[in-house]
Amino acid sequence: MLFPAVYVLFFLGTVGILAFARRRYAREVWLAGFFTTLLAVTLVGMPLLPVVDMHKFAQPSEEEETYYEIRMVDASGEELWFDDRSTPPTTGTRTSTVAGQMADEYTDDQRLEMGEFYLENAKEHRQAVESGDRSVTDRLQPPRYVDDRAWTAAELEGYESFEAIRIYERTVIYSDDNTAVESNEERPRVTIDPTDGTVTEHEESR
Amino acid sequence: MSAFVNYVADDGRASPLNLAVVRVLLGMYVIWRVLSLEWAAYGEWPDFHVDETIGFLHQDLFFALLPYQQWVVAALLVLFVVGYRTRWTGGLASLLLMHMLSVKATIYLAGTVESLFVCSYLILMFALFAEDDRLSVDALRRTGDRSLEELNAVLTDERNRVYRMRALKWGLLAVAIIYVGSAWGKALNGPLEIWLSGAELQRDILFNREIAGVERPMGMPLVENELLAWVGFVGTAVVQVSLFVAAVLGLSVTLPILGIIGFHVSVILTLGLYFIDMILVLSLFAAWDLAYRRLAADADDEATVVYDDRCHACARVLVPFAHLDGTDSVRFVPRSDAPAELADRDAALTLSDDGEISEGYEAFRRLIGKFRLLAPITWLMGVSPLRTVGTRAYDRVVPDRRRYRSDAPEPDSS
Repeated sequence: MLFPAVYVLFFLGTVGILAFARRRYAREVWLAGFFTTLLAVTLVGMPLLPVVDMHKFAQPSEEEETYYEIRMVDASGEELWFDDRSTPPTTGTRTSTVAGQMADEYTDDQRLEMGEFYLENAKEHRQAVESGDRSVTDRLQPPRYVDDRAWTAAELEGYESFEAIRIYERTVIYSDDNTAVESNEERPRVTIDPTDGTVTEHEESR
Repeated sequence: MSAFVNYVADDGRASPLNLAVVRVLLGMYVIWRVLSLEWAAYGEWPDFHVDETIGFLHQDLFFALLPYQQWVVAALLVLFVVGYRTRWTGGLASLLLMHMLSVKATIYLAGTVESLFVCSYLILMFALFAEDDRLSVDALRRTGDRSLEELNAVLTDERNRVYRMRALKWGLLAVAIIYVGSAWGKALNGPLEIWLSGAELQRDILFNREIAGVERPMGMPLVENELLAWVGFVGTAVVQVSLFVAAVLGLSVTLPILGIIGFHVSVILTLGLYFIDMILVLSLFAAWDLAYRRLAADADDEATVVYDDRCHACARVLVPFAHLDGTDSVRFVPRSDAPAELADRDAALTLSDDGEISEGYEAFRRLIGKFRLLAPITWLMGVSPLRTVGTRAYDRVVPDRRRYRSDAPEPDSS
């Protein structure tokens, strides 16, 4: 209840203050409300939209860390890593979260729906990469948030059409002095094939 | 060093320039950003992955409106950039953008969204304190309400004015608090030991390399040298907190801001293109007025503008230039006080610069040229088709004496 209440109050309140900005104390009231919220949000580290914090890289890392990967599976069973540009606005960390939910939390129906979403978007993005057209408006874009690796037309050439997605769980272990990654092991978790409507869990590899 | 301004300590400046520069930069940057986001794509996401606390924002209607709202925001921001009805164009653009970003946040609240929220707060501050802005269409419109005597007083005043910039004061405070949060977040979540070694930063860089699949050669020295990583980790927290401390204590914010920009550049080199928008946000607090002073003509190179002090329209047009002229490069002289060789002319506007005298449209064009920042406008005004159109427009706004002597006995009412 708090979240919708603050949200609506912020917008209505601000419009009201703008209308009476010249009245005595109107702007002081707004500033007091805004900065109180901003301070609270900053202290607690949880956004209360539309007021946000920027706690970044705030979770301490462990000696061992897990993340999830989505891979495209083509008609002949070949696998290709997933380009996050297919599904705006996400980047790798968010893809990892969604992939983790697909592996552990979602029902099969949800897995199929999300799997199809990823598959269709990946196909669309693949087509755009392969056609190689970059419109004038594309060129005028600001750089993408996080310049992670991207599919290239040459790389895609070796793959048949995408038919399914497979989720991998990856475990990173750092060396004792943290100067290198000692190991980054992968374990297939689930294959989602929206084309056939099948979901296959790979529990045997656990 | 005063490359950046501590508006929290003192929101008064000798020139109104900074407020206008920030308004233009911020407005144009946000237009570019907003029109570049893929608003139409967000509604395609299945809706069961949403964070429940903000689930109320995940509505089909909200997503369906996003692609259209971006154009409304852009149109409002164009008006904001020129300073037209800033309170409402800026206010509504900011609120609408915040709503769009909140809807986007139901899918993913990443750095781009947060940086644009910060931009929205700044735009909202401009809306709240709209009357501080002296170099805007609004300011020009407001001169219409002022009497001829008041306008003449502004033009002939000695110009030791102080321009308040409350939007930048509260904007800087908000940015400073947000950066304190960046450092505080690590203290809040982490055990104390993370501050004693470089392990956190080493692991962050290594992990990022695995998940993004990109090698960052500049990250390797930090990964391989624990001391360097420790300096980077603790140094980040120090610069992030220093901005707030300096702002509140009334110290110079130049080093803190340069420090944070340095931190952002290191992040780009070692982790990737994160938070680039924040570099723009921080640069908004630069002392643009001091940079302009170096560029502008100074008092030694003073031009004299003789204007018709009975003509309201003439005085109105000149007022923004009087505000912009922080270096006393132009002296505005009412015709009634002017030497005979300049006063005894038909044109409502006469400019004498370095012995050269020009009148009417040409005088206006040269006046603009005195403000070197506006040199491109002067050049455009000299190109022949624009000169023809400009001369007509000028004649309409600022009729010369011959004209109103015969048509209008009361020039003051124009």
